[in-house]
Amino acid sequence: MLFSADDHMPRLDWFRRPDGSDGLNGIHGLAHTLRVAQHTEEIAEAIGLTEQESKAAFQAALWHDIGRTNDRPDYYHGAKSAGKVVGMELHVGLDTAIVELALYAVTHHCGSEEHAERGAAYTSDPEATLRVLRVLKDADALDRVRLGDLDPRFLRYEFSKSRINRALELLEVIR
Amino acid sequence: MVLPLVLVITSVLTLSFAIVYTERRVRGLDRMTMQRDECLRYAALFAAHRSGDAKAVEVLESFGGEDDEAVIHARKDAFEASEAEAAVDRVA
Repeated sequence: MLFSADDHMPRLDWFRRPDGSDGLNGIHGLAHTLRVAQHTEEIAEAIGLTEQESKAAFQAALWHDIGRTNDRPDYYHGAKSAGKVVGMELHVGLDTAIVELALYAVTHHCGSEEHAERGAAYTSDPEATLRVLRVLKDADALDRVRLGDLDPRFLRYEFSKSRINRALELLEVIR
Repeated sequence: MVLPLVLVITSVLTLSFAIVYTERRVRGLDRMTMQRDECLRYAALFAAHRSGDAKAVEVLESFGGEDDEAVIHARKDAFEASEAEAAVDRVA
């Protein structure tokens, strides 16, 4: 993994929800988070993201679902996750360019890609922003194998489409 | 005879396009606004948790209306209004 052990790796309290419940062991909990992070790292390397983009995608994967308040369709949970990152100061100490790329991907990983693409025009590096977002979305989608309803047609990168077996393998390894 | 008919059809098509386009833009903006509000509220909420400001936590939680059905439905409506979002959400 890109980060061996530091302050920016997942902590158990990240998954604590405002109502006091704990999402740690749910379908969007720690194991899902770590599998998505592993996918982002491998996809990023395969498609040639820069080091900065790779780190941003990895960090985004670690943060992407921590704002969820339930495991059902949770509208705007990407935005809530980004807000939670800032509120808990999880971003402190990271490179600001990485933080910007990661928080954009976190915010827009659920919902309309059309709006995400429109908004990316206002970021510091629109193309990098969208690359990081798409890697996160593919990584997150690949872990739908845990639910048995992954549809490869929705994946954005050809490399992602070749990773179904890897996704099943990660599902066994990271529980 | 043909010209008025063409004009009427053109006008109707133009008006329809304008309505659809405007509606989509407004819904898009609604969505962006709600997204921004949720992000800011959560930032404030968890900052309040960190600082141990119980009153701020209480206010921010009530403002968000996590248990308020009307708020949940408003979020759902705005979310689902965007084109192809249901399909996109499947892979989120």
